[in-house]
Amino acid sequence: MSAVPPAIPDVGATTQRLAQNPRFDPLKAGFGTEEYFVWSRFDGITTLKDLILMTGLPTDRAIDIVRTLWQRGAIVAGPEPSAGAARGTGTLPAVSRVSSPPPTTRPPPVARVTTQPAVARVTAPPPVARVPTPPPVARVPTPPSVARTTTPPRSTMAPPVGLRPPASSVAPSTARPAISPTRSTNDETHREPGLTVVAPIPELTAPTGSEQRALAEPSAMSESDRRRVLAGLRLVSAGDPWQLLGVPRGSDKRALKRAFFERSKLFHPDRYYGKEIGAYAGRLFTVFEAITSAHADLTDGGQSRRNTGSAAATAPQTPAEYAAELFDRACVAEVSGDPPQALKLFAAAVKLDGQARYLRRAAECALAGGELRTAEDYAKKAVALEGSDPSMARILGKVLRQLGKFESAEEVLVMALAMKSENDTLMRELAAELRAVRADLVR
Amino acid sequence: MPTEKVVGIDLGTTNSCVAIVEDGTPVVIPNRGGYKTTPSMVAIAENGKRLVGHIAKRQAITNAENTVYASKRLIGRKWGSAAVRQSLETVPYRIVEGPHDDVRIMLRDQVFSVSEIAAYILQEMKLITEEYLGEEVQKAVVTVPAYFNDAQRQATKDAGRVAGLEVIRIINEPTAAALAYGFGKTMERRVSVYDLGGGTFDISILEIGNGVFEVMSTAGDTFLGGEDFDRRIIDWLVAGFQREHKIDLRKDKMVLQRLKDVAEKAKCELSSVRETEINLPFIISTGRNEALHLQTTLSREKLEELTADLVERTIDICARTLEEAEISKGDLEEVILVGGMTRMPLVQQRVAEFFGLEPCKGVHPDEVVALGAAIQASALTDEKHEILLLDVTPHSLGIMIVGGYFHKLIEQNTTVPTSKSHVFTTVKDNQTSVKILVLQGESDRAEENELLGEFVLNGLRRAPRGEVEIEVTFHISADGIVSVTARDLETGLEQSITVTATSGLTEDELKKMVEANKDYMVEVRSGQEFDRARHSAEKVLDEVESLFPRVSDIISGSDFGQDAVKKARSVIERVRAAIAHKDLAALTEGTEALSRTLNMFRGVVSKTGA
Repeated sequence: MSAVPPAIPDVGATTQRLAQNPRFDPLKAGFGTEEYFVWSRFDGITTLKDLILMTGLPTDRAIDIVRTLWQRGAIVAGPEPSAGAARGTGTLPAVSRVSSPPPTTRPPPVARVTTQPAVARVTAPPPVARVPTPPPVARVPTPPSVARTTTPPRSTMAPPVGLRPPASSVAPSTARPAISPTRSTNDETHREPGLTVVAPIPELTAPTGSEQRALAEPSAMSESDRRRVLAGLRLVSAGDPWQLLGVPRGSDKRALKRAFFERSKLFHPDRYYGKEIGAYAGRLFTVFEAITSAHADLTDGGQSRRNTGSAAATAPQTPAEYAAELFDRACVAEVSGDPPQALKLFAAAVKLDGQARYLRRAAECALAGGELRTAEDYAKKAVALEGSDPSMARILGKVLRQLGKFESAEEVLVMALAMKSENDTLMRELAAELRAVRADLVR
Repeated sequence: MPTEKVVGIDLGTTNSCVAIVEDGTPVVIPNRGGYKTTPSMVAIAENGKRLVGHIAKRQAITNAENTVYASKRLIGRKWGSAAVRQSLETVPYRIVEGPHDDVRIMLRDQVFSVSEIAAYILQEMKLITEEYLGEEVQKAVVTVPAYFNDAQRQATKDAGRVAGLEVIRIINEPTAAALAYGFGKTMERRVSVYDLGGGTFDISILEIGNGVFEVMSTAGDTFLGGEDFDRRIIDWLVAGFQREHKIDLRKDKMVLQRLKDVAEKAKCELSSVRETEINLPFIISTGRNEALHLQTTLSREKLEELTADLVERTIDICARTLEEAEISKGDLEEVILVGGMTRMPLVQQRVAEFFGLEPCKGVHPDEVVALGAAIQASALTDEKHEILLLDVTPHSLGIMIVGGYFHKLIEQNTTVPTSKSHVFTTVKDNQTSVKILVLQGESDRAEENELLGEFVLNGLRRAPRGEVEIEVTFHISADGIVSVTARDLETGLEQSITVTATSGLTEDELKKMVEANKDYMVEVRSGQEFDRARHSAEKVLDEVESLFPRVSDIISGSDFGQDAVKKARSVIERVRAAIAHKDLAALTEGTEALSRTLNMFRGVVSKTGA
């Protein structure tokens, strides 16, 4: 291998940028394919040195070809390199930067290709198969202001069309007065604003001794932020997840998510990224973690139950009654062709009341949905509860067979058959299942 | 002191892009050629010179063995992984095994780690920025696909370090896209990010709420992208030429390079015009001192016909992702298109049809990820930011417990920062040390997951097994850094690690470790488990045995009675053996079967009323 020399005889410095000569007629040149290939690389942008490197040809051969092309007039000096194109000049590149365009300016879309009609002409192939210069339509608009505003009075907000004032009929009377400012200025929200209100973090009133000491610690955090973190810790130790998130008890998922987001903005450690906040880093973490788990618990744990919370208020239900209701709804969902929903309801029902009948149906539903592990879990519990009922054994046998646990399946089925039931259909089914299992075992 | 500049870099599979927030506005920084993206390619030229970006790309085929592209598919991967196997078969450059089951790339007899290759690209992006700003840049936020595991993220960070950049945060590409999309707007929306780039396809669902961004679900195909579309065009051109001239164009690398250039160009053009001429003069010599030209017209319809199945594949993945995340299309309020391929009208049309939404036109598909990274960079370093990114752990984290099982402490998709503790206990009498193997993954088996690190806690009190309690705590910081602490609850003695290095052990090695470290294992303390299990097993055993003679009398006459008696005997033996071998798993399993036997026995006895 050899390095590309700083200059090529006749042609000149290898730092120059050469382009194809538009007046050169390649059809008459009668070059070989290598010459044509090298010629096709000239784009007026790449330096001669780089171009020689990227042909992949031995340097000497590439230089020979360049000299031939030059002598035959196939290539000419390219356009003057733009000021910034050479590395290290410190000047701006050809494409100038637009540091802050007016926020509303959106240049009209540019049809990329129509500006390069020459691409199809043999005599003047395009410089490069370049990644097309993108149309400038997509600039992320400058936001009017990124400064953080803190609860400005609502009346100063010019409400855009569609904004619902907080006192409208939908807003519950329990709504707290303060609301995060971002929502008031919301001009793009599709969702109903005003329905949920995230309560502010209460003031840190009458700080205790340890809180006073914490306020006096060295930390890059501002006084008001410190007070908020300490107030947040008070909410955490109060142990009420609803209050911690600042939403009314029984709020729906969407309201919980909104509250979680609002609280996260206040307590996420990234808010103080790179700052020396001392012991407040740990406190912040504690509050943030409590917020995430409060949100997770309230969102996943028995969500379906809470949704009917208002109904429960008028007609109190015992867990067993509620489980029965869920079970009925699950059966309906199953027959109406919504197995995933059915399985969810079954799961909720057995959680509240793990009776064998519920477990068996849940197992059947899970089996039908291919949730074998879940099905196994339910079926085993069902058998453990009502082992003398062969219908429980039947479902467990089926599940075990699907799981490929043939020996266990055989054992379960044999036991069930040995118990003898008056239900002949069931017995026949068990026997058939056993035959299938034994066939699998032989295989 | 002026605020330090932190750039956002989209380190893509095929193209990379760098952006910065200036005066509150994110802008993409063009490279020397004026392009806003730079090919993620690195090559070593014939004379040993390193080529990066456009130059590397323009010689990619003629110097194929020494040109690395799509290295992102290899970064942080184990030698034995499926992705590496697949790359081995498809890429022309040499992939070799590294010393730690990692992947190395060999170019002109020189061996490079994948992080080094990525570092050259990052270095190029750094230089582009420095030329533009006229000042040095030392920090960056870099994006990675959402499914990247810790090893891949760490390898990306390492690449930054090699390039002289401190990677202050790794963020997910779809999150970055959503960040750029939602920047400066107040909205609450559930959005889908459809990202079809040069080499990979990703689909993600995010929730945006007034400046807060949260990833809900993500999936993709790491081997589906624009390159596949180009290949279809090349195939079509080659087939047409073959028909006309009976010459196979694929045999000549230079020709293939020109075909690749022209295919990509035609594909891009057809996004805005209905047909384009493809013109390659003197593509090949006939050998009779006569050169042939390739001249043809490619219409948009033809291109769509050639690539329709590729587009359908992306739609299938979208459907599956929504289904798995239990999100209905109706819940989505916006579809954001990312990646150059989404300019293709067919892609836009199919996406619009599938989601029932007109894709968002407000963001630039090639630049949006880098812009988002720049926004996050500024959100972290600028006082006045209003943006918060809620990131989640991409995979579950936990430790290995006795029997080679994986005990998860932190579940996948948990919002970070977070921490979780669990109490474990010793498995042997007089066990004085425990080894904590920190793993990442979703499998129940330890060896099927990624090993992140390990450490030993010594000096435990000599005691019967199950008596010494060790609390293991996982902590993940907002930067995604995992630290693990093990503490002897009695003495307060503790030991911890911060997971930084990627180890890259093979499954075999891990299996061997499981074997070798048997004496140092911990087990889940959910009870002095074995003793408790034996106790309950023995109770059941007693009752079964007392009923055995009567039951056997009653049922042995029936069809299945004999079988059942045999089964019952074998179950009893199994339980006894499990007790003798102190095999907890077998005992649990056996007791379950034994309880079923007992239930049956009771049923039989009560029925006959004897």
